[in-house]
Amino acid sequence: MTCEKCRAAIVGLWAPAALVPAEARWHLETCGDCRAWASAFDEGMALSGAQHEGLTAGVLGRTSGGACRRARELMAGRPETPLPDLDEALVAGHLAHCAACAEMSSVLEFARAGLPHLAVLDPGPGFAEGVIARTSRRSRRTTLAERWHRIQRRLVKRPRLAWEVAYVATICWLVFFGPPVAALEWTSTTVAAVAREHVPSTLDAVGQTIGEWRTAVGSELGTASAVVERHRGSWSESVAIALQAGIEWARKTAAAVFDGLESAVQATVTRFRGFFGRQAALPTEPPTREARSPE
Amino acid sequence: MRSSYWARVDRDSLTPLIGRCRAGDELAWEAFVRQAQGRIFALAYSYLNDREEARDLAQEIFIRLFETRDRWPDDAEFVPWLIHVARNRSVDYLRRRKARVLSSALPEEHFASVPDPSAGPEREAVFASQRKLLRTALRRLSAISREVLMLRDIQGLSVEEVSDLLGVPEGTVKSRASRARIELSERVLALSRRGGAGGTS
Repeated sequence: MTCEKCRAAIVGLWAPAALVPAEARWHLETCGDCRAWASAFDEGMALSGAQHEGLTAGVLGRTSGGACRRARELMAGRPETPLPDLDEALVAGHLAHCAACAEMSSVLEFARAGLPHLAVLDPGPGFAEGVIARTSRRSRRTTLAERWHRIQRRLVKRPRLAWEVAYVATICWLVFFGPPVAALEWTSTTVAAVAREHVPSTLDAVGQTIGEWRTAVGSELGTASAVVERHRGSWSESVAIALQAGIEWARKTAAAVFDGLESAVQATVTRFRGFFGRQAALPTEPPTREARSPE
Repeated sequence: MRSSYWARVDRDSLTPLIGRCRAGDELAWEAFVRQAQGRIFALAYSYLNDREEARDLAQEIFIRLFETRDRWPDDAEFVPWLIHVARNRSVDYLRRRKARVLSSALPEEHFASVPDPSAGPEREAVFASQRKLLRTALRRLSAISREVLMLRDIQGLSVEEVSDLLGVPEGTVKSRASRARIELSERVLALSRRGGAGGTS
């Protein structure tokens, strides 16, 4: 027997050298190297449980790290994802060697059993009576004054009421009295001047676009009407009349829509020009310190 | 779906009341209030952590339910919907409350869970200390973990129902629930080691 076969026999049996077959034992008696090797293997096999644990921890520490996190995830996710048999066996194997995870497992089980009992909490005496009293009062019609009072109370309870009031007051101030600071005033005049220059032309362009749309729609409807007339002979009379009526209706509706749009744009341009026509001329530069200071 | 004991009891006993309440039967409404008050109060308390405010909010929730009783959903969807309404009102209330000073929460001793009728007095005493321990641990969780445990493990909603309620994917609900259970177990272990609120045995 070769040294290699002898060592394979010992490892394959996963047993101390004393238990290997006679052929391998005879080889061990004649081979000093294999005797030394078998002796070291025996020592490894004779490690205590704690030494094995230390070895496992050492190997895990240098390879994948501890498996506690994975085991806890699997245990905690059981209610949603039942574990396959293999995972159950792996978790059980881990728990057999990990006291911390075994403790966690029992706490998870404790929580699983106990949490459903927290679904109901006694609100104290008189709760149901209070609700029933309030809801039975509600079954009659509430007066306008009661409703107004309730709306007021709800408004006052709003946590951001102060902010909202301040916001509205600021907007009102700006609308009625304008910006209080000269620099802001210059900014607003500048913005107004820019708007005066650009907004009417933009609105004019919108008006032109609407006109183009009106023409395009009119042309399409005219074409459709002509097609209907061309095929009037091949279609039944009632279909042709219905189609013509539909086209006529579409023409009138489109005309009304475009009229409305054009007059809205026109009115906006007129109002805009009227409003900004009253504004002062456009300043070109921010006011200097002298200009801003009172005389 | 894994229904909890209380979820099962509630669903079974509420079912015959729903239609009668919708039809405006005052007796059925009274029975409904008595039946659901513990659950609604527990939900409100889980969000507010203040007994008095939770009581007020629970009343508001019932009044809201009463005002909309003609629009109550059908039996199978009722309990998830009820929890949905209670949860939304609680979240609204919390938003409004942010601007106000929080009132002090009462200590744990002031809580009285509704006893489990299937347990004897001695077992009920053990259960009471366990509930106290769990409640203390729950209060120390993050808001997200507490909410997912409240909906999933305490109120017994399915993953799908919790997902709809919170507006997050089902996978997120699963991972949040798993993390929350680990977090809760760690809190329970820490509390038991300190001997603060009873043991886990």
